[in-house]
This record gives sequence, C-alpha cells and structure tokens, in this order.
Amino acid sequence: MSDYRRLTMQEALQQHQGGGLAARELNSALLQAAKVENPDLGAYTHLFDHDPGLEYGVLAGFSAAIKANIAGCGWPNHCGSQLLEHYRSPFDSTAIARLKQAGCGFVGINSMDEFGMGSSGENTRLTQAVNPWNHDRTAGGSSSGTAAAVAAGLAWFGLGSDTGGSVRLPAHFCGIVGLKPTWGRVSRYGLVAFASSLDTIGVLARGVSDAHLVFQVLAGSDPLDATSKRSHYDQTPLRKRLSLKGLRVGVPEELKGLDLERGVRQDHEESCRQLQDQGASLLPVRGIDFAGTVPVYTVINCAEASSNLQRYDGSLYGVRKEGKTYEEVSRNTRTEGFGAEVKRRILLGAHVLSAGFRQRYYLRARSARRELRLAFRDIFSRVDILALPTAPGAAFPLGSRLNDPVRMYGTDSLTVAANLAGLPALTLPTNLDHEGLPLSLQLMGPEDSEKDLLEIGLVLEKAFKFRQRKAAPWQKNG
Amino acid sequence: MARSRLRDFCQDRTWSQKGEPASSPKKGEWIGADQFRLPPSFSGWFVFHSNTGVAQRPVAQAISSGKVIGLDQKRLKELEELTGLSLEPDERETLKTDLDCLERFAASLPAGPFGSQDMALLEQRDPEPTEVASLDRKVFWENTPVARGGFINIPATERKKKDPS
Repeated sequence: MSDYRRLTMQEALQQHQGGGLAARELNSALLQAAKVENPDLGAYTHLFDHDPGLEYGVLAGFSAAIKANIAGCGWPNHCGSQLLEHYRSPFDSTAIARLKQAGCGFVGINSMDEFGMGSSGENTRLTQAVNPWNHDRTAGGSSSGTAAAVAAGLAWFGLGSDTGGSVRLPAHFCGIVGLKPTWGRVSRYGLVAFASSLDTIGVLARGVSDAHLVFQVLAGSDPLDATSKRSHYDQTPLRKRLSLKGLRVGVPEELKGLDLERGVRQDHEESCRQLQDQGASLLPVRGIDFAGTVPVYTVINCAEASSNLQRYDGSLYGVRKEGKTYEEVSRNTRTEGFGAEVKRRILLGAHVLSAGFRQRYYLRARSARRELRLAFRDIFSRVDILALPTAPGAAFPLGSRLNDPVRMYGTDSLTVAANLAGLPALTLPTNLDHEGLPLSLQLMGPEDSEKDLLEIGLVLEKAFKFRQRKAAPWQKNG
Repeated sequence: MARSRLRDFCQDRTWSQKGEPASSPKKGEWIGADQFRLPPSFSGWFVFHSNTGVAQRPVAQAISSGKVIGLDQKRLKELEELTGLSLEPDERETLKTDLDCLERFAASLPAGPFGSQDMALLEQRDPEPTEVASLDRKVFWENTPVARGGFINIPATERKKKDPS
C-alpha cells in the first residue's frame, strides 16, 4: 500500500487481479495525499472534493490531473492567467468528455504557464508548481503542474497541451512519460487556443502502457473539430516486442553542434547504446537545423497567439475592468489581466504580422516550416524513428532564466521541430544526472506513428528500468 | 479530391486571396496571419478551428501610418495601441529590450530558399500528403465561428454567397 504511488495503472490492475487493493481504494489514498502535499508542490490550483468517475470503463477507478487550459463543464479554466482566474467553462472539451465516458475520475486542475507560454511553469499568474525531485528547480512547462502531480504520485495520469514541447519538457524535467500526438489526432475542441496550428493535447503518465491506454481513449475524429483527423486510431493493444531488431533509428548529426549539457550528451549516448543492444541499427541523419527551428517557432507562435488572444477584451470571458468606452474597457482588462510573457508575445506577434514586417518574418517562417516538413519526410524515408534528447539540460533553478527570454526559448530547441511539422513524439525517462535530476530520451516518428513509438517505448522502458532503479521524488524529499 | 475541395474552399475568398487584403496596407499596418489559407499538403495547418466555439475578434483598427523602422519607442507605442495593451513606462522599457532582442532573434530565421520568390517553387516541390483531413461542410459550417457571423471583417453578403449550406 505504501508504494502505491509508484504504480502505473496497468500494474495496479494486475495487482488487483492477484488479490491486491482495487484501483478505487488506491485512488482514495492518492486523493488524500494530493490534499496534504499540494501546498508544497503547487501542482494543483483547484482540488476536487470527490470525483471518482464511473463504475465501468477502461479508466474506471483512476483519477486524472487536468491542465487548466482544457475545458471541463463547471471546472476552472483559468489557463494560469489572472484574466481568467474565476472563469469556469460551460462545456466539456472532447478530451474530457471521452475520459468521462471511459469512467475516469478527476483529482483537480493544475497550475501552468499563462496560456501555455513558457518552458518552466514560472510564467503563471496564479500558483506555481515546483519540481518534485528538487523543490528549487523548475518542473518544466507549460504543463508544469500536471507533470509535477503525476511524477509525485498525486494523479494516475494527466492531460496537458503541447504547442512547442509543453508536454515533453515537463515530462523530461519530472522523470515521467510524455506523449505528444500527431496534430489533429486528438480533438482540440475545448482546448483554449494559443497557437492553433501547433497546439495538441498530450498525455503525461508514469508508464508507456498507461500513456497508450489514455491515448486510445482520446484519439479519433471529432465533428466538433474540423481539423481532427478522420481516420480511426488502431485500438488494438500494444504488441509486446521482444527486441527492436530491424528498427532503423536516425540520430541527428546536428546534435553535435548544439550546446547540450554534458550529462545530457552522455545520457543520449547511453540511450543509443541501449537501442543497439535491443537490436536496432543506428544511422546518422542530417537535415534538421534544431537551433534554427526556434526562431521559426517564435515567429509563428507569437503571430497566432496575438490573433487568438485578441478575444480577451473583457466582453466575453473572465475579468472585466471598467472604462468609459469599449476601447478603454478592453485596454484596461488586457493590461491588468495579462502577464509580461503574454504581452511580449502579443506585441511581437502583432509586429511580425504588420505591413513591411510580415514578409521579413512571418512568410519566411512559414516557408522555413514547410522546408522543415520536407526535410522530415526525406529523413523518414530512410529511417523509422529519430532518437534525440528532449531538452539541452536537466531541470534548471527557479528564476534563473526569467530575465532572458531568448535563453528560455532555447529550452525548446529539441522539441519545437515536432510541433512545426505536426509529428508525434514520445519522451521516456532514462536516468538521473549527477545532481539527481531526471534525464530522458525523445523518440520522434512520422505522422500517425504513435503506436510504433509506444511499442518501441515499451521495450526501452524495460531496458532503462527508470522507475525500478530510482527513488521516487517524494521518497527523495523525505 | 477532398484536398482540392478544401484548398478551393480556403483560397476562393476575396478576403484571403493570396493571403492579402484587397487594399494595400501601409507599412506598420496589421495584416494578420494567413489562417484561412491552407498550405499545400499540410493537413495539420488548418487553423480555422472550432475549439472554443468563439470567433477571433480581428485585431482592432489599423494603426496610424508613417515610416516605421524597427522596434523603437514609437513603434512600440503603435503596437500597444494595436493590441489594446497599455504599458507603464518601466514596463515598456523592459519589454522594449526584450522585444528588440526577440526581433533580432526572429531575424535570425534560417537562411536558404525561404524567400517569397521561392514560395511557388516550394509549393511545386511539396509532395502529396499521405492523409488528408476531409471536410464535412455541413458540420464544418455549423461549428465554426463564421457560421455564427463571428468574423466581422467578412461582409455579410459575401458570407451568404459563399456559405455552401
């Protein structure tokens, strides 16, 4: 019972079949732990009193943590912003509706970077989450609270959103599994828009099989989201491969020129050795300028954010500041409601979309994005997947990058390429660095290859033995 | 087939032809993203979304024209006006530094065949997508802000004429 918080959902089900406690009983203990530990961790802004879910369904008995930009009927939908602090959604997003249908319960709403704009969780205007492995370090962002909750055993799994790495980065910093699906594979209906051509809802879980279980529930077309994919996701269970024989894994040559921490580089080499040990063949590939993807992402996400966030003018959502005219109300609401990072992106986005500047920035970024997609297509004609680190370093100290936006954006340098090309990616925890902070491997595949990534991830998870070898964060923190 | 329908649909609009508005904007004026124009073969680009069911309000009014070079104080003031944000002097100073820095960062976009003159070439080279998000027009129209008259920059007559339902 004491170690139930390290269990994955699959393991809990297996234990119950062997005579152990049912998931529902474990769930009650988990909810109790969330109430006790959340004040220190800051993972949740709102904890639900009692939401056990249904008696039946593939997720019955389990409770999830939900990022605050995913709408649930009657739930806070604050997006980490003061502007939406008291706003409650009047409808369920498709993702939440599907979880409810699958019997899932909910622990609460998580803290996050304001509107998903950040890589550390520090750009929130409400509660700030810290890293469960070391409370002086960032939990990653923008799904900071969700990752912290799952890593600390305060939820069985979590839903986050990934616009430039917001699921994979916190998964990397907190030592859990993060799945960013193909764009369009999971409906965005009810996900508060940040940069719509990049936004995806993703899964944070303690194990690969859990990520698959949740992803199966979420994936599929949705008439409420015209951009969701029409093809059905293969609902068969993951095949348990004995080895990775025959798998061609591309290792980007460009990694050599990147400024990666020594621990990250060593860990990546070790992960590649593990891939080889499992029978995969490694092939060096060229064509993705990872450093160059960050300005492309910056221009595109700011441009779309400036447009998407224009709706917050005090007339429809959240806080409304008084004024004599509509312009004054709008200006006062936006000025007081938005934080510095959001203002920065709105201003930059409006700048790059203005006459005389659009050609220089926005159109070039779009062309570069298209070129990136072609480069990926070329690479995936030669290899099956790419293997690379998730971030240039482990979790950094809180406050260390707040005054340096360009350096902060650099945290995303290995993740944004998948968003720009709309490709799926999976982050797997591998080891701890010399400071005891988690490191990870990122697998990137062609469009709709989530299942392949998860099957490969299952083999590697067994090889890495991360959860079996490492003390859990709450044990480490005493 | 579905793809060409979708492309026709996205591009055959007076307000989004080649992504430019009918009248030429002056320098510094807000134009907007080509959010309604589907780049060839990118089924993942279509951002005409219904995820919150609410129209995107077009960015306010055009700002005053005039020569604008870089992100100086005047330009920043114009952007504030354009985006409906009002900054305190010290906040403006901090943001100006950040934005200057970010502008230089954005200007470091990868060199190579990314100029606008190469756009047509890139489109030709862009291979067919493996999968296309097909469009159920009825569902599409019922669930998009346009159907609710959300986009106030589209003349109502034009909207009516184009509405396939």
